Amino acid sequence: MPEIKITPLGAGQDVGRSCILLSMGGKNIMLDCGMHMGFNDERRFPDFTYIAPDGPLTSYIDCVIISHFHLDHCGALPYFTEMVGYTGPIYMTHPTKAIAPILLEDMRKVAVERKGESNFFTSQNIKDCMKKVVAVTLHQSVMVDGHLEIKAYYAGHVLGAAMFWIRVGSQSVVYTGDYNMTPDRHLGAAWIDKCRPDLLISESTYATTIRDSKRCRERDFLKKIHECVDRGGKVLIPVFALGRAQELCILLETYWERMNLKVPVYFAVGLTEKANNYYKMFITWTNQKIRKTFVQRNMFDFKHIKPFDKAYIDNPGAMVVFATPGMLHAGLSLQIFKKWAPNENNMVIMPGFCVVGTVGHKVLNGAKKIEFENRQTVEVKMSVQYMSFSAHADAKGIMQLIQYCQPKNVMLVHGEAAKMEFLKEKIKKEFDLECYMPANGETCVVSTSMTIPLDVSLKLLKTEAQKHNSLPPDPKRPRVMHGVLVMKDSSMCLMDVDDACKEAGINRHLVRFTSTLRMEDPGPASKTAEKLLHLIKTRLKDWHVQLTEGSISVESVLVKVEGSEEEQKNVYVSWDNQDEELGSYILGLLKTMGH
Amino acid sequence: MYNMFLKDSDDEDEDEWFYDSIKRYKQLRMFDFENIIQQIELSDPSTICVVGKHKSGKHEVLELSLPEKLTVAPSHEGLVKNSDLKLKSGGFTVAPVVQMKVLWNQRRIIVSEKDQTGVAIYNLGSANSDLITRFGSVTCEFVTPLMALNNQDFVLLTATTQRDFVVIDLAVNAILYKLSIDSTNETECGLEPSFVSENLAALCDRNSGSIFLHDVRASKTCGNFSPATQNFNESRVGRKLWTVKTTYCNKKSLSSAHGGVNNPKLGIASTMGDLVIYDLRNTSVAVCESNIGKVIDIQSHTGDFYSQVPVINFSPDDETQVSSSGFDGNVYVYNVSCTEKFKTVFVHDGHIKQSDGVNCRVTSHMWYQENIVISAADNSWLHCWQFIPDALS
Repeated sequence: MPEIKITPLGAGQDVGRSCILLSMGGKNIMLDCGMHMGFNDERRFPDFTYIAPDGPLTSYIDCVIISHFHLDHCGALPYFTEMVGYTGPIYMTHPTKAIAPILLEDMRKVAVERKGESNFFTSQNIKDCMKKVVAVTLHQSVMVDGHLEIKAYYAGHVLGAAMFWIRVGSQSVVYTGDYNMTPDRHLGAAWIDKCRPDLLISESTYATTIRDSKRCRERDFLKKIHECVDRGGKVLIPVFALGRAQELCILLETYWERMNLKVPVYFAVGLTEKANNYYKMFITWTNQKIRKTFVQRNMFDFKHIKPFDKAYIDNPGAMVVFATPGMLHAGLSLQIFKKWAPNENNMVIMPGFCVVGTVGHKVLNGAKKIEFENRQTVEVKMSVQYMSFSAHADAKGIMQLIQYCQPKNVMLVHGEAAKMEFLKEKIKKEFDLECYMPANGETCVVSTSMTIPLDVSLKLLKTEAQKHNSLPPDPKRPRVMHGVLVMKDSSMCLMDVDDACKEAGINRHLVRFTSTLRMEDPGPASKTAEKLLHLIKTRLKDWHVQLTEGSISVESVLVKVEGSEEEQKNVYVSWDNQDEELGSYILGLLKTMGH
Repeated sequence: MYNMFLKDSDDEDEDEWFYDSIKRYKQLRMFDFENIIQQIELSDPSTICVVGKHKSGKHEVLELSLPEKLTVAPSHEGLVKNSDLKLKSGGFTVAPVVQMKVLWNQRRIIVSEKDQTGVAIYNLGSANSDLITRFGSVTCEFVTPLMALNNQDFVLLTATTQRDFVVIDLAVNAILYKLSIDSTNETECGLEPSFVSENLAALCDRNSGSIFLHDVRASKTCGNFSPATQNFNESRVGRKLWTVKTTYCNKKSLSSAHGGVNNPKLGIASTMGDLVIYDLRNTSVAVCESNIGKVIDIQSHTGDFYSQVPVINFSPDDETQVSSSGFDGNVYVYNVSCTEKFKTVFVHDGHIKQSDGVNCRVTSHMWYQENIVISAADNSWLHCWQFIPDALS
């Protein structure tokens, strides 16, 4: 099975979720198990019936690997384990295992409590699901079973994000998940060694963009906030509990300190406890600069950022508040929004994606008036700012990663093929690699050259070396070595014929072929023999040709001439089956001499 | 040894510059390219075409959509989150590109390639494919000519070392006529073409900065003038080269606020820092004669014409402002309303900050709109910046 099969699950052109089926060496691996945030029905989950229309999925899938905690990569996992019934192993890094359940629970609450959905997984489902997860450490080799090995590499992007190297037998694949190649304030750049996988699978949502530098996007954030508080306005920043919130706090704290600003900055209380754990994990995962700052200043205690109290909502004057939830769909952030929205001096900064139907989504679409269930309407006069802080690999990043790991083939998922021909050509030009771009739901087959490792018996090698005076073989003139391929358990060995027979308890049979040629050549047989010898020696310059007692011998080939002076000569040519090629050649050669 | 923090991006010095930039720039976008961008041209109101030099020696042309944050009206800027460049199409050229011009509204570019005769036309990508492919060529005996285009799709080509030039009508791909400008001094050198208005072209003598005006429709020369500074610097060490730019813009949908058509201006700049501005209604006296106090060492930039001379541009928003780059890692904006009022209005020093202490050079820049300038440096970065005038560094 030298082929590797990849099927991105999902229909049509949607790029909202990652869930890729990988088949190689007889193993089936699911890469990520994401939920599509844009749908409210079954379409948000991957179509698992594709995998095994009948029969339990656990027996079909050998393991599930989750790259990081974003819901479009892990959102469908509880559904997959608790409701579809997968019970096999699930792998992810430690931070991912710690943070994913928190985000899953937040999301579940929105779906069920706010939108009243049924047939969604429960809190208990999430807990049960996470119990099945095996956490892995970076660069630690994990044997899923006797044949399947995986290893996680640092991916940057978010805390805990990893790229996975997967090996079955002599075939290997690297799956990147989301990654980025430029280090920023909080996270380093993705890194992998020259592992030379047969296939590199990379997300390509940003493959045709060139990203604005993180620094410039942060500058935008600080500029907008500074301008707003300068005119006495209030800034609301709705955030998810974990992830972006901590990064932006660190950013704001550093700026406030440097510019000696006195405007109060608040962080909603509910976030603090969760944040503590987050920071603890961060220390081992983040870059040296942050680590130093943690040691120096104890990042758990911001100097300029204080816990928020609802009572402050009505405080006069400028302030900045980070509050959950991130899409303004409920809770404190929505409460603050309702109070501050009618004032045009105020500002709301949306640092992330908002699902359709939420107040965040409406506001980002320019809504000037929002109606609520209790007939309450809120006028939106405050300034709305949409910003993107996510770190993704762009066109240049993908080329860099290919350079690092040196794959034999490249696959780009979640992109539009027609819009990536140029990238495909570049990869071909620069690395001479094939670039595949499967559509969702389509199976892509990548052929790999499979190497079968063979042990060669030392005795065989020694005999061969002796025969040729320890000279290495000339690539232009390959030497034939005879042996028997013996398969024991899962290893294969090339052995000397006699040894193999002994091991198998078989008697060796030797086969010898003989052909007779008739030649008209007056004179003594010995003269004919000399002529033949001369011919053979001329044609087989590199071979050891001998004439002993009237018989010419080359390896195991014997040529004997018989017959009296007047008669036709009989030339007997015989050889061992091992020297079939040589024997046939000499026979053919001698035939040309016959008159 | 595994080292995931090889490039520590948190340089305090850089942080300072960024904090300062909040007061100096309205918008600032920085893009890290794989290759060094050498030329930037606008191909439609929200798209640019750039020429990049790959490390293998090949040249790439990329068609990039400008980020919405730059192209939408300022009142809507908050509602869009996209601040990235989007690759619309890309392709490789047959030979290194010396000069590229965009055929406005035709989804085509015209390039002059190194050691190739005539110029070539490439198609930009379409709905079905994002590849930029070679369409054909325009025949002309000049090797690697310099080009100027007007609205009527007339192309004026000049030879790099002779005084000849041709005018070609692209619509029919035919040479209309060929002429020559007599040499004013012994040294033969080429002319750089530039359109002043629809029918009037200016040919600049690279060695002396002398301008020859030529009426394209009537196909005859109609005047010439030379910078006075030329004589002053004759005795100085070293040869200098001149380049020319005008306020004419052949992109119909981007009309200059001040009506460049009615009041055309022409600027010449030299590698020794001269900057002379003329109003074409009266070329006997320069509007502004100055020296910016910087030099380009020609010897260290052998090769194509464009890598040796500075890049100057008139601001489409304010005719008293002219920008200049190519002397170092900065882009300078000057007030050139008149000689007495000449001063530096703004200096964009963002490129130097990204160089890790190594000297970098700005390869090219262009004005977009509303004080937004797009510039590229030889450290592979491209910047889109909207400066606040009089916010000096």
